[in-house]
Amino acid sequence: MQNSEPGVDGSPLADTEISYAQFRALANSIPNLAWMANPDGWVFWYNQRWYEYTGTTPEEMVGWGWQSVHDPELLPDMLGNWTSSLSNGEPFEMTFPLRRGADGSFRMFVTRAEPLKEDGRIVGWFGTNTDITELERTKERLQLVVNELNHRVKNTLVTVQSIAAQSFKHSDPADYLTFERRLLSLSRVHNLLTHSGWSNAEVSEIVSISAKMFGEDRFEMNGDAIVVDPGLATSLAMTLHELCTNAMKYGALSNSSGRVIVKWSTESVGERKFMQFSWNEVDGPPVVTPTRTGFGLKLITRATTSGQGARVDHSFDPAGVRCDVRVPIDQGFLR
Amino acid sequence: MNGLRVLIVEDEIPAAMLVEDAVETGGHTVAALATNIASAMVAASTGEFDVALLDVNLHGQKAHALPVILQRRGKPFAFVTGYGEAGVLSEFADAPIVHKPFAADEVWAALVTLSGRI
Repeated sequence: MQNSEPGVDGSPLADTEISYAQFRALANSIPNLAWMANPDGWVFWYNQRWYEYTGTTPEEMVGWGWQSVHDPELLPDMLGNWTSSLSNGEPFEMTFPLRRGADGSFRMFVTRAEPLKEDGRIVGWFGTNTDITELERTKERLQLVVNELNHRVKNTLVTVQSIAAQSFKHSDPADYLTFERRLLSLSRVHNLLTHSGWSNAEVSEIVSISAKMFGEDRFEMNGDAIVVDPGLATSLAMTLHELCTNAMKYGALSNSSGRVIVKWSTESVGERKFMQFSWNEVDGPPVVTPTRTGFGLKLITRATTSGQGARVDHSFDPAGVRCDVRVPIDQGFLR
Repeated sequence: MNGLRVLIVEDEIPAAMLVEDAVETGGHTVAALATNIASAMVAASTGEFDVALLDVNLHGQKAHALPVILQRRGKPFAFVTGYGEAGVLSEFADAPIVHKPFAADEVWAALVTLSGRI
């Protein structure tokens, strides 16, 4: 080992054995611009990419010369943040444009700098600038596509709604209204999911969709902050919609005094996490067990029971309809 | 509220039919239905109507000139819009917005608001 070049024989190298040539080769191989500064912020070294990108020389850049490649309008803000990092020793991170030497155009960079400390004292600053222009453009394009898609989905729902309206024209208007309300509930839970980029939805907001549609003053809602994935959000919204529809036809929402108490909470069983969700109708007319299983009831018992350990208890207690749902939320859905 | 004469601007025929149904079941009449920008401009600047219901996008073009014309003639209007377009309407923040897909009573509520502005 002592007789050979460090690392050449394949053995791991101690940090202190890395030569300046090796360090420089590494620093110039990374796609980022990189630099080193004294504790007071005086920059004494840049990697090759910094000079290539900015089209500058070490003489122009040394110390505080880097300010000349910044946008003059944004520079004061940047300087404010940078000097406060220098004085309090906190890592620096900020996004701002840097001018490209080749054509004078500005590209967006995220800049990060970390202090190096020895015995608790800062002995230098080490920073990188990462070009995120393409990333930002891709994000913008993606957002455009998502907006366009959302717009088209809405138009498709309207087309379906219109076809149904024409098809039901000579039927009982109540049948069409039942359909239309289902469609509107679906559309509203889609809106919720759209706001989160189709990642999740808050249970309280899902419950609010139904409450708003069927009369908020009749609902008592209370529960933990739980977010659920799009699949469960949609199932829950449609289940709630059917419970509301039944309540409006036969249950607590069919008279003037009835109310619905909706509660939800998380429950841990060993490693697993569940959402416990309860629907409880009070002060409604006496409940009669339905003789046929409609779409709503089928949906209620099936939509939320797909996960392992899920359970639905739907009971027609004469005092008021109850529905207790227990559904797993541990597949990475719980924040 | 007496029945209103309503100008409908909507390029998607299925959506237009739903708006027409909602207007008529609400006890109002459809003064005109415009399904492209050119006919919408003519109807908006010379038509006989009380209020207007406007789709925000006509064949992908944002129908911005229409609200301006309607404002000049003192004709109240509401937007009927899909998701993601609310932002372009900020300069007409007073106008009621009916979100697609909509229930008939949401259109009726918008018309009630508009009737108070005639």
